[in-house]
Amino acid sequence: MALVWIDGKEIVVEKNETLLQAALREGIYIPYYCYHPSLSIVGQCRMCLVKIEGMPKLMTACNTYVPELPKEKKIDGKYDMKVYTRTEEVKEARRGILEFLLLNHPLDCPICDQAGECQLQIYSYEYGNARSDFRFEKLHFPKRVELGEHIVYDAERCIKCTRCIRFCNEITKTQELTLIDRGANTYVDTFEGKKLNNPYSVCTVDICPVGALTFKEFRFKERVWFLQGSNSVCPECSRNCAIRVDTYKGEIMRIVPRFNPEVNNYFMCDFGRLLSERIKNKELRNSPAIKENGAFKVKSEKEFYTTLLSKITRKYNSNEVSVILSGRMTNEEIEAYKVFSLIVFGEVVGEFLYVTGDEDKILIKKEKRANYFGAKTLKMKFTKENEDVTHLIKNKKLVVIIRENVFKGKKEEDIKKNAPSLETVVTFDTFFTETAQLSDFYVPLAGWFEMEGTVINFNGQLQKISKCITPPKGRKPFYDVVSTVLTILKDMDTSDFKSEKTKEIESIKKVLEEFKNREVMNKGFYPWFKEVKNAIPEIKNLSLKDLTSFGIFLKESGNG
Amino acid sequence: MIVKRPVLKWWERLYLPVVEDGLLTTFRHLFKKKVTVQYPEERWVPPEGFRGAPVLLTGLDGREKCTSCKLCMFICPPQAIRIVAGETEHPIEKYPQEFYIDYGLCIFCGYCQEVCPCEAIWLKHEFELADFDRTNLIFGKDKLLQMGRQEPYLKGKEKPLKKG
Ligand code: SF4
Ligand code: SF4
Ligand code: FES
Repeated sequence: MALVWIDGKEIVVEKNETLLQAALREGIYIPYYCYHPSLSIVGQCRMCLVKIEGMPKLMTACNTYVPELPKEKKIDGKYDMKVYTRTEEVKEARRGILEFLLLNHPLDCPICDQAGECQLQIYSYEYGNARSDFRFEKLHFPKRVELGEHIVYDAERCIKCTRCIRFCNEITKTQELTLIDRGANTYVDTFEGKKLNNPYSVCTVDICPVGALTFKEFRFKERVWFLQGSNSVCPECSRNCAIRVDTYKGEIMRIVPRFNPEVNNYFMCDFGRLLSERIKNKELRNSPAIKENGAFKVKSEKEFYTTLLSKITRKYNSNEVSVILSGRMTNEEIEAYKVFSLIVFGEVVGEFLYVTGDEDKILIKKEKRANYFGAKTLKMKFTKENEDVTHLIKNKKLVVIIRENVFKGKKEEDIKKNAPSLETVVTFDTFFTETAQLSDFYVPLAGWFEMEGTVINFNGQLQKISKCITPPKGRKPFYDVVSTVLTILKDMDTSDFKSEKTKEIESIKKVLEEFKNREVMNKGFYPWFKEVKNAIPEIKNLSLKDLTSFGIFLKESGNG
Repeated sequence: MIVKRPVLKWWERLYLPVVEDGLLTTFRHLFKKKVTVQYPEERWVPPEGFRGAPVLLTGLDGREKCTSCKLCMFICPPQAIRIVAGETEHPIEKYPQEFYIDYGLCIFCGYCQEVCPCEAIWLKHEFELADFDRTNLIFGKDKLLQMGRQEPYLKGKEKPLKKG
């Protein structure tokens, strides 16, 4: 531990901490390019120059560690180092460095995707010169190089900070990138025969401080100052990487990782990021529909749910019913499903599909559904690993599917063969999938980016997802569907269900009465969040305000 | 704020003398040079710097100057501009695939012309934009470029951007 004086402020610097890290931690801003908190330190860019007392030249703050001096050598009797970050000398040096970095820069901000979030722009504005003294032909470098499937590189914009190279060497350990050529002509390229195609390749675009690396799918789509970011969580595996969803006029433009030290640090995988592309051009419906004579007929909400409820409520024994649930449901939706099941089937039935896949040591997890551990915490049942749907629907009369496309690639005959007794299939899903097409009742649900909710990751980190885009009125989250069902049931004559056992009808009334008092009817996300809080003792007193952007760690959930 | 009404003098309260004053002004104009333009038979020539319809300019190479940086789309107060960017093989990689200006929304403020780094959008002297249908007031890229090419006084503006 050493005591450092920076611009009149006393700062304690830990032994394994650099000057730059300590200064940033204490809110003294020193500009930097090549330093990145998760990568090794190289001191490549010279942007972080500061004046250290006793040193003949300016020093780079990012790779200066502070040794503890013996007592008699301490400066002013107590400091181990005295640092100036705002003297004329330092400012002059910064101006010089920025001029050097911009010597061969094409200055093509109008067509550069990074403009608006570019560190070159920001620092030039803050510390740089308005003009350059360079009056000669600029050096030219390869432009529009496709380093990988999703990455386009422009060597003229590159400042050779080597962040991308270090990322591939240290984080993914795939070592695709290197600097080729030397001196003024150096630029980044892949090794012979290699391509930048690792599962985390697009993270290089995020950490590139300038516009040299651009994400092909986002290239030229929208300028960043038009984008509206909302915090969410990646739904593609149980890591639940924190993400920011950038939208423009209700359309998702890109997904970028959001810093969360408990979950994903600064990174996310390409598969999750490309979700924004995968959900495009999928068929969507905006109102519930019933299949009549082989074709879906759109019904009004009231008519639809009245028909649906009178068809399925308390009609089947629980062994004739199969409910397939999905880890894509948020905690609130799971709680809402419990209520739904209690009313309609008299008990909580249903199994979560346990879908697994590849995992790696960096971020990607085995469970391919976001809220697998949320369902586990809420004590739901699971199927066997990657179980085929045909087992689940065998000899069933009613099948309810929520947020899963289980009949993918299956034909009506296949299903008939496995479950000859099957009478009704009800599907709740965001997209009008194959499963939806094969069902008798289809209810469109709001998608992952269209609703509020909470999810729990493999480690027990509870995070909140938010409504990044507003869905059309007919597409609701499942908890709102349940609220609607409750409201409609309240007005319905429950004796219509023709159940012989009047006791059960009584119980429907009782459940309804209870939930009327708990205010879950058509009030949106918050009352259901309260239900979740009641179900998980650890967060009983949690308020949404306490849920920071990092989320909250639950000891009793997850793998531990 | 309370505005006090001016108290009229007895001379002004007599009414007729003041009316006479007004009529005199009217009659004086009978003998002055006429300023009325008999539109549409007579055409009015707008002065230099008049802000009419914003149009797109073409560069010397025959390509639109706009690189689709969308600064005009950003600055436009009534959000009358909409651009969809695309990628080309040209060394300047970006170009406007679609470019719309809604003259029904445009307030002819000239911000777009001022903000454009490529001098690609220019306010023309054209002011006769009326139509019976609002949708006809949304002009696409082709039409805007064509309007830009028509104007003789915009010819000088076709010079490529000065470096320096
Ligand atoms: S491409 Fe970006 S991250 Fe890589 S060296 Fe160049 S400026 Fe740095
Ligand atoms: S003149 Fe003003 S209102 Fe009209 S398009 Fe340009 S910026 Fe928009
Ligand atoms: S941040 Fe210190 S040299 Fe680059």
